[in-house]
Amino acid sequence: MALDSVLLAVIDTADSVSILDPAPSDGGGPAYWILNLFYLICCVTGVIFIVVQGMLVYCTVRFRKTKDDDDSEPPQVYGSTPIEVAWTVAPLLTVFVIFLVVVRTVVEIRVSKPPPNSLPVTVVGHQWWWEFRYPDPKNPEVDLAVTANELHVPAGRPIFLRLESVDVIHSFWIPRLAGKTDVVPGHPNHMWFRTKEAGLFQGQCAEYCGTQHANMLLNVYVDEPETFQRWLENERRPARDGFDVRKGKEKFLSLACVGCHTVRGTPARGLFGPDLTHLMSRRTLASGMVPNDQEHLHRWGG
Amino acid sequence: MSAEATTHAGHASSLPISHEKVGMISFLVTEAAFFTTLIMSYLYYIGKSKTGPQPADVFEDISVTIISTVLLLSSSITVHLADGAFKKGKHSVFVRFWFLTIALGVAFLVGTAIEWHGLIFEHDLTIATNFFRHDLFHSGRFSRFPRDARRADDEYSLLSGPVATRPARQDGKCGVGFVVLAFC
Amino acid sequence: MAIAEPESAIVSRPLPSILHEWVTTVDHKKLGIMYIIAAFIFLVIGGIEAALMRWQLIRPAEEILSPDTFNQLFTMHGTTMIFFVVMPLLIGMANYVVPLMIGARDMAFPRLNAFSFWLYLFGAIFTYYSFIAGGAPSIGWFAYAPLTEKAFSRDSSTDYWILGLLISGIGTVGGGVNFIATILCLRAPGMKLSKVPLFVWIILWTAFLIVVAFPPFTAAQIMLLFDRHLGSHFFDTQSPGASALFWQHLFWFFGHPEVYILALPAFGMISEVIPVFSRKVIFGYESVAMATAGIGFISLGVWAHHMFSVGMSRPLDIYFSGATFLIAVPTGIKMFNWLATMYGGKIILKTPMLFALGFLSMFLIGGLTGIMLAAQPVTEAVTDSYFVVAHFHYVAFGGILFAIMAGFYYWFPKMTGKILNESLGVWNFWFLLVGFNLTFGPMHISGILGMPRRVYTYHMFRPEWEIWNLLSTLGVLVQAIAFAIFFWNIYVSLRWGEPAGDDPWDAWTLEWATTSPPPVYNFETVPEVKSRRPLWDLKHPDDPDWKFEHF
Repeated sequence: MALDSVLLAVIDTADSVSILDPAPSDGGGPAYWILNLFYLICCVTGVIFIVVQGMLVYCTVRFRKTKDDDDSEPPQVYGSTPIEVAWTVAPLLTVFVIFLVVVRTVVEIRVSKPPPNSLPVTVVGHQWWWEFRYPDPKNPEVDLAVTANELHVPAGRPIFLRLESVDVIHSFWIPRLAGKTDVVPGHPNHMWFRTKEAGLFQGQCAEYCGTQHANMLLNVYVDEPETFQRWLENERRPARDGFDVRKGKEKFLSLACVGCHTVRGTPARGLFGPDLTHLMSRRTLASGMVPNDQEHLHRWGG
Repeated sequence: MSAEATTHAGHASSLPISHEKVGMISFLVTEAAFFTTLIMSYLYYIGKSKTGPQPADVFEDISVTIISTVLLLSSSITVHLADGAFKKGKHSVFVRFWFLTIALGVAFLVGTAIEWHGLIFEHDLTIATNFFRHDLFHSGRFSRFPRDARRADDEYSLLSGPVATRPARQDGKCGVGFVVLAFC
Repeated sequence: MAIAEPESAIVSRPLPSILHEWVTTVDHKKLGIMYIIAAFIFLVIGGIEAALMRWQLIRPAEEILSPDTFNQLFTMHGTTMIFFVVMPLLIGMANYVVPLMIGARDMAFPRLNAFSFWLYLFGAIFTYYSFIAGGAPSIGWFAYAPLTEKAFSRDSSTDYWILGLLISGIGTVGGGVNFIATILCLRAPGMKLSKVPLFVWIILWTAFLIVVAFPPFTAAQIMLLFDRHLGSHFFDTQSPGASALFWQHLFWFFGHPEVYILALPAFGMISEVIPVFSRKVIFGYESVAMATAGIGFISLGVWAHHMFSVGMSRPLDIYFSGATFLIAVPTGIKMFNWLATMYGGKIILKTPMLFALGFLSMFLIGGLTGIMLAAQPVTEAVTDSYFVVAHFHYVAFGGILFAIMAGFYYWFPKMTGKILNESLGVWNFWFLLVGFNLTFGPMHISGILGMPRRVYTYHMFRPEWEIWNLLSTLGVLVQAIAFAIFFWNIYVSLRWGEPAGDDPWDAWTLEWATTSPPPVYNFETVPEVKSRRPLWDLKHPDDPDWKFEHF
């Protein structure tokens, strides 16, 4: 799949995937709390850096042997218990204080139960694409909708993700929304985030997962609640049938596609590849690598 | 700085034991670390197997197991006696105990073979069958895993005996280690 | 090869006889030199691998390397640098120096020593043979299951990785056993354990870590091998009950002490170089020694800070966070002791000292980003990004490799009888310092900007990553020049360098009491040791150390 750099520019892109730029939300969120902690530790380590590096430069310059020095040895100082105790205790206290802040942040971020009023979504990592399932709140065994690579969530509500993998370890990382959580086969993980702002938040798989790890991109579309509801309603419906799509349907069902892909409302029930029911509602193909337009779709489909 | 044992370079060692013994103890630490890892694995995976057979299903009759364990533990005593005799210069006593040790070791191996034959051919249980299984075999490949008492005993007798005269036993990895160290 | 030989011997003897002598040698000095030569060869190979990766990442969507090639390169780069470069460099230098420092004739088990070296070399060659046998492993140097299982890595490349490291690992364990026996039993008369040079004390703790941490790795590798070839399911998550995370626990239980197996000897070299070039006794010998022991023990209990994003339970995350913060304390103590040693001295800025200062400065940065990463939530944000790549290169390259350079410039005269050219050394230092910072400094930023590690490409729609990647790649060129100067310096100095004499740095430990290079038997007579600096006592009979040492 050769990358055509000119056409790539068509893809929606978020301005930033920086951890310094957490998504705005009322009452904070994981990315925001992490950044606060990051800044705090940066300040402490920054001071340590300036002090120690300053001492290093000072000693090097001040005690450098000059031409005027005779060959006598300087006074030999073997140590000093009070000084050594001081520079043992000082770092100990410093890291202890940081540790307390860390404990608070860990407790804030790492929740095992879904936050109140949260939307549950199941994320399934595949080599090399993402599957998103929206379980029915009344009956979690049943999925309302299944889609791939583009996660749609409503603004203003906490999103509670359950992370599963069907093959190797992946890692779910949207830097502006939360820290990364690994997607481990046989070990379901949970994470959550929230933002009050609609928009596109990007990231990518952050645990090396094989050949195409670099191209396992992630797009999270945060929609206004009404837009999200409309999107979800549309996704719930089986594929549109009718005279105008008959040719495409016959072609699809006659090829090997059905072995791997599902299109709800048709006999295609494959599970290996992404669900293609509402493919044309997605903006990208190939885990976010290329825009979903006619030309790319044609080339991707071969 | 009490005992000043002289070493090959003629220097005074500051330890009361020779460098051979220190080397052997360090080597045993590596062995202990190795087997601790396997034991940890066993504890980690215990009960994780969703399919049978479970230990109780295949160890209905553990008489062979008990007997071979007794033989194995006894061999540690006989090798210790052999070592003592060797140090005192009682050659014939040494030879007697040494061969007894070897015989006990062989008997243990035969017991293990019988046991494994039963597991593999009667219970159709191999390393690939389930969890309980492959951990057992895996550990058993290097030592008789379920009987970790043997390790402590083994290490004790190793420390008390000179390296070169101790016969390498069923523990393949140990054996290689002995050859290497004895060689030095 | 025969750089430790007197010149006449090289000329008068045919090559096969010299080769035979080196291949069959059990002399710790020759083995040490062979470790160093082999490690330098692998350093060049690992460096080329890194340069290729940087070339691929010089701009977005570059197509110089295929994804599979790139993945093989980062796997082999990490594996090579850790197992086939830094560790053998440290073991090789310790091999050469430790027996001399304690006034011994050789290591405790010379044949085991040779055996260890050849296992290392064969293990390394075996791992590299995978390139010929159909492709190198592409699993990352920590080989996370289940990517390493048969289902996801079908060819034999992963087996080469497992077996190659298993072989060289057994060699390393042999080295650990050997160092323990040597240091505990073969010290010169009067050299109590509290009077050994700090490098020797630190090697003793390194050997302890090797002996405790390597066998679990061996066990884990064997379990993985069983999974791949005998159908067991330890880490094969396709079968219920298997665990991907258990591999990570086993690997990092080895992998984190491994970091200190690399870092501690580097601290040891610094603890030798800084006093000699500051003309002062080490400040607080006892606290450096105790800090070493502290690091040794704590490093066995922090492994899961490499697993902060795998979804461990909250109490575990908090425990490993706290333990990791704790290890900053003994490391800080050492830092302050080195600075206090310089304070009030008469610092001679020769190449070994320059590299030692480079070490202090770069390791400080790596240590401080380490404190950031000890905080579990921060790790969630920046782990597996280029920030972490920057962090561990500041530790392993800016820290450990700079210390090795300091030690190499310091002991090269002892090993060869020639001093490395000083002005080339200064050029070497500055090029390496600039090149290193140019390469790895920007990685902090690209990581914070959201760039994950181990990606063979990145896309046009991330323009903010471009400049930092370009800078990183340019830094590689500067580093290449630095290493070219370094190897040229070795060549030039061996051929035309000035003779070193027994004690070119006016140093204080026993290795400088014999000739350069030392005879096969090391010492004709070992001076009696009464203090930690026996040669200081000889040079200053009116002001001997032993009057001031209490332990």
